[in-house]
Amino acid sequence: MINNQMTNYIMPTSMDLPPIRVYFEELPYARGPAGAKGIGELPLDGTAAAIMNAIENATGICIRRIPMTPEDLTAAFEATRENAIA
Amino acid sequence: MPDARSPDAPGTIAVRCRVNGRDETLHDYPMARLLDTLREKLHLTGIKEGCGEGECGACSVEIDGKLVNSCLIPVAQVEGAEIRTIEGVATTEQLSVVQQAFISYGGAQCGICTPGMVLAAVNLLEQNNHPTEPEIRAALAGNLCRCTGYMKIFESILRACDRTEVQS
Amino acid sequence: MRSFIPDYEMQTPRSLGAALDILARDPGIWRPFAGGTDLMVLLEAGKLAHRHYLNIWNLAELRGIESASWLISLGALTTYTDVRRNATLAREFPLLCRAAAETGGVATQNRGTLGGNIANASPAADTPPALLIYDAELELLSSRGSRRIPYRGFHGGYKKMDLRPDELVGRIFLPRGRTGWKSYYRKVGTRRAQAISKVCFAGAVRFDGKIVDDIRIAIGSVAPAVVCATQTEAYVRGKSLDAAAIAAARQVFAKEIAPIDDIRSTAHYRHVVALNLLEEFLTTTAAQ
Repeated sequence: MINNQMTNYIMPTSMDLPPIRVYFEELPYARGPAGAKGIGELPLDGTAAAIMNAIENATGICIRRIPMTPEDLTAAFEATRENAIA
Repeated sequence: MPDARSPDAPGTIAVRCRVNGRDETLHDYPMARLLDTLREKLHLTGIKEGCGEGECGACSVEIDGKLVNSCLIPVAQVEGAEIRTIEGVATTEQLSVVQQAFISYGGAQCGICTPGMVLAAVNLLEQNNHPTEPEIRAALAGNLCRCTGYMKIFESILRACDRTEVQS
Repeated sequence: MRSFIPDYEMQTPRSLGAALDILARDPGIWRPFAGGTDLMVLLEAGKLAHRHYLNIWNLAELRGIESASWLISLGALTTYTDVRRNATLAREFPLLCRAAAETGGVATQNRGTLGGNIANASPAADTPPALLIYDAELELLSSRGSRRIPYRGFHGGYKKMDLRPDELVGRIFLPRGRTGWKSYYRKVGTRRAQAISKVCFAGAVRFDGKIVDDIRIAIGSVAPAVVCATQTEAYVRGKSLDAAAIAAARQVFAKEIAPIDDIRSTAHYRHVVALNLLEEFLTTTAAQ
């Protein structure tokens, strides 16, 4: 198991989370009870992609692999700088 | 296998302390975790083991008014101490303002962080009865939550402050 | 929980004298145990090789923060919370309060002690860089007496320190009266709380006009022990911090650190960040 310790499984603390605002777009699902549909895990799917896209938009650095760490970004910045100088 | 932790098992000690206002004598090995002794000997199972590394705060208790991680305390070190667990926050059917706020404002989802989170919030409010959101964030930094994203927890605590003010 | 608890012993000496007698009688057999925030983590991971501990948590002689006109004396059992709540430290030694505030969370700060942070001798510890730039001294106690040494040079290598098996860290002294210094502390970790540092930097500088009159630089997590960047200090002293001087200082500094890849970070990232922190320290203090 790769993440076998909380010390290394770095999840955000209360100091880390930016404000999160939640909006509901309610489109009833014809085949669900009272129009309901499960949404429990769906909000997970797009988050990493959205953050990676935002970083690419800000820096021009395109990384297509997660987890993406500051170490990955720093290495990518250096590679970009070397390419620019070369 | 016989229970090696019976009161007179060799190597165990008797630790006298107060837990949730009652005098108790804890019989255990000196470096048994306070977490385990409180859960298994006093059946105070509100205290949770979330990580066993002092990272998550699910095992939070108060010792002499100070918030600590009970998974990091050897029971030998609580001789003479005054301990409060989550069970000591509300001792009757009347919930504390913080607990009621967590219910009313969605501060709990799966609930595993909640005992520690509530105790941390109560501990904060007893020292600072009108904290700002940054102060709440700092006070709860040792209590990890995987479900809520913390926002509802902050809101619950801020609302609890309003009601405490209204009440007093 | 990966350890067999019945294998471990802990005894509680009634006094400091009794504790020192035990350490003298059986050096290396009993090890001091203070707040436990490092040792208990090892116990739970099944990695606490030593089995016999001396509970020093209640020794009143090792507690308390006292002020004399020329120094502050902190007991080894001073917790991070004690540091954060002390008004004199906040005013005169703010980097120590910053270090204490950025360690763990409230629960860790209530149990972690300065003596424990020093005696655990981790290169990633949060208070040593701050203690070093304040020219801290340590009082080490044994049944033979006491000795007082500068904290600079205490850690000679990875997890090494100038502490004999029969000694306890007794007090930490911070000399007062240094006026006109500007200070800077930055801990870079995996997150904003509850993080072991990737790089931990403390700096203090005194200017005479535009010239650096005196300077202290200490950095953790980039070498087997906390680094006092004496060559960088020597380079910067007497100079005006223009862009060329800062660029050159970065290169001197690069040779004083030896970061590695580990579970938390990479050598490359630590190198880049360490040099950037040095530059941020020099440019922000010069501009104040």
